[in-house]
Amino acid sequence: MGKRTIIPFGPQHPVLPEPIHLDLVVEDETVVDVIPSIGYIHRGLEKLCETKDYNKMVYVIERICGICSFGHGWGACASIEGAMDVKIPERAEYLRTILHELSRIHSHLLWLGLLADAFGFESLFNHCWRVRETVLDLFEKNTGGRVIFSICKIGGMRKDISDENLKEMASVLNGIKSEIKELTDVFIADASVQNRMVGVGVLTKEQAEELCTVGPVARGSGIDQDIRMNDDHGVYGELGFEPCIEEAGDCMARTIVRIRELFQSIELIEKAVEKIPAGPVDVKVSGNVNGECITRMEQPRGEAYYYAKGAGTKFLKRMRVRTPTNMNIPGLVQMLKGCDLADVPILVLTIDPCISCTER
Amino acid sequence: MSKLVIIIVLVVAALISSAVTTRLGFFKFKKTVLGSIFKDTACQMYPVVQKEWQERTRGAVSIDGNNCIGCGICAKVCPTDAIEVDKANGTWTIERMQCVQCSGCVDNCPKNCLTMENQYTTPDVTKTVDTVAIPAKGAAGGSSDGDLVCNDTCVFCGLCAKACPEDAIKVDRKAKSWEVDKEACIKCGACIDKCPKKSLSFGEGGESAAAEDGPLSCDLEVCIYCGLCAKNCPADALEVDRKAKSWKVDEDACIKCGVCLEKCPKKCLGFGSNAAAAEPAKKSIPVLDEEKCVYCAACENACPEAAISAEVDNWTLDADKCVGCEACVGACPAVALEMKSVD
Amino acid sequence: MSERVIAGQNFETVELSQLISKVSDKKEDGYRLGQICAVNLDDDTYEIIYSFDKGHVLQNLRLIIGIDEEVESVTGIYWPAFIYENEIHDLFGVKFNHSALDYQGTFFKVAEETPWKPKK
Repeated sequence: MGKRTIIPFGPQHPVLPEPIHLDLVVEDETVVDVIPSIGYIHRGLEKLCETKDYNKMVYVIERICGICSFGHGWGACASIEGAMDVKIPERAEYLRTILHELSRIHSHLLWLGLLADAFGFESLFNHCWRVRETVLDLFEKNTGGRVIFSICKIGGMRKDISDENLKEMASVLNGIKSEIKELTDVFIADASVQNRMVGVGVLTKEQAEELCTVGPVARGSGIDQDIRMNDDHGVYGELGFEPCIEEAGDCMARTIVRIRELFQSIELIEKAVEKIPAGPVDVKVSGNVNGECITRMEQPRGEAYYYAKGAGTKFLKRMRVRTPTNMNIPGLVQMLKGCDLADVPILVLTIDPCISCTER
Repeated sequence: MSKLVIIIVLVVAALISSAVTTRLGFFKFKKTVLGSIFKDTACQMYPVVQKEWQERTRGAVSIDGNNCIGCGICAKVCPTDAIEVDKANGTWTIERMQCVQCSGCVDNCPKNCLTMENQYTTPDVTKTVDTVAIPAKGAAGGSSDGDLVCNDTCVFCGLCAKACPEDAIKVDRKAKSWEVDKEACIKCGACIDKCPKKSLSFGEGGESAAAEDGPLSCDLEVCIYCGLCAKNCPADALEVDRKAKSWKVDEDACIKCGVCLEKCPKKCLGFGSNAAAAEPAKKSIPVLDEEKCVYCAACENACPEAAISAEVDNWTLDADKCVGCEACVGACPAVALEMKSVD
Repeated sequence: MSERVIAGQNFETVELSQLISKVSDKKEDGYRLGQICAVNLDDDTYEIIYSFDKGHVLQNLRLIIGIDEEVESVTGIYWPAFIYENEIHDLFGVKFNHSALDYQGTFFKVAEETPWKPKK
């Protein structure tokens, strides 16, 4: 048995886009224990929501995260719509689904790039982000923003997207499919990538269940869990959605889940564009929130909770957002135990951490 | 040229060496890598090459100060409190660095004087604050100081309540009641613009349209004596007799509010010598509710332009002839006709 | 493959003394912990909502406590709860007893003094 040393990892570290601190207890080169610690960028956004008119609050919630901003906006709107018992038009549900899936493509491409960067494959990283740029351009054209869309409002959508633009979106996505395929083949089949990921950081199904992991981390360990199977929001039922599940539970499995989801999202958007009905995109919402509602969304990183509680005033009593990274940190701790010190950056990345989300 | 040869030699060397060391795995990436050598760069030489902004790009908020009525809705809906409206001094101020371009102000402006430009503001090392002059309190809208009132021409249609950004108006069509929450009312005037009957105004002073010089006059050659001007005059200063083809104005009673000018289907009215207003009003035509119609042909008789034909079970309207005078609506004993605007 | 479900709003109120046994029951039934969330009801009452998920159906336990009451930690049953309990402790000032991983108020590093009371 070697000597135990504590190595601090983060909050500033080349692999981390955002600050999380891990105290790694290592024996020789092997990590034996981990103590995670967050709280470097708590911005008090939940508290801020309690002091803003609930209609303004959507803009605040969207800014929790720059990557899954649409999902946050949708989740917050959905929870308030639930608390006020508002039913949004069918076309708005379709548009929300389309934009949410487009965010997923953008998020997963970003993540694939970061992962490639983490194991030192710089050109792959750049190519992933180059393809992602096409998706960002689609966002800008259709919503007006590249990362913060501000298109979701309580009661529907603020702007309609014309059928023409939707068709163009589908054809652009169809066009980048081959490029994505080329890049993701490298992740799956390249020997140097395989050396870093296959069999590394295995989280068994039992462990994943015990640690209540969510999203691609859970699905990579063979758990059939995806909130899109829940018929509360979106039109995933009409689009015939089935979750992508991999059994292996290692880094590669989590990567493959996300890669499969990339193609699945493109397919979902294509189907949705075909099926989208005509009609209004919003309903007028008046009055104040009086009631409570808890809703869930499947973000690119996993299941997120939104809890809205109103007390009959224009301010909400409580707006709670529980983001997926929150629930994956315990899973990360488990994965890190017993791994090589050199694998820590990749393992941290495979849960796709979004610390700003986690702390809000 | 020699540079290119060196690159190709290097790439081939890298391919061969990596193929040996990583069991041909590197070849997975060859197409993308080789393609990139001959393609243009994915990045733009910003700022030498400017990016093309999309129509919807949210860049920066701009204001048309002349139309602003200083209602302050933009400041109210702003999530970051970046906008400040000072009605007394006539200024509209935006803190550019605080603005998050959500365009909430643009969507909620009752006067549509705010627009979202698709150009960003230029980067700066200090915080930019832009101030725009807007009409100061009392300068525009004449009597806009008083509380919102509704006169007895109200038909309780509820359009004002729907238009109100602050939900300050309550209208109950069945109970024929109209109420305004004076505390909540911000006097933006959105309801006044929407009111089909022009029943709303601020204070007792009547309509808020700006008065123009000269007495009201009518171009009798164009006039069809429909009587809409008289019907909508808040001061009852007009008298129109369709049969006798006469049009009279009581100049002492006329308050020069201009409602008649807006309502005139033929645009034959004017103040002084400006006998024609520039823009024709949005046309509206009568629409029949067939269930209510008794085919009495009262509308046909009332129509000054002979645009209606009312045979039993066959009511037709020649929309080209119709001037939207509402004479038919007033004549209908069964209340089966309703004016609807056409685009 | 999995069935599509429609999840409603299932809230069940629990007493402070029943909390541990109710949460244990959920664990035995195969539920996973979704989240724990605290709400400041008024100056001296807190509401803590425990959400559990099984097969995409959500079950919530609602616990209402006074400002001075201490809550038994559920980290013994669901270890990942440490994140929420430390967060609630740091931001709301609710005390949790017998926590498996207690950061003792250092989980969130915020510039302003916490807990933030509803009205200062």
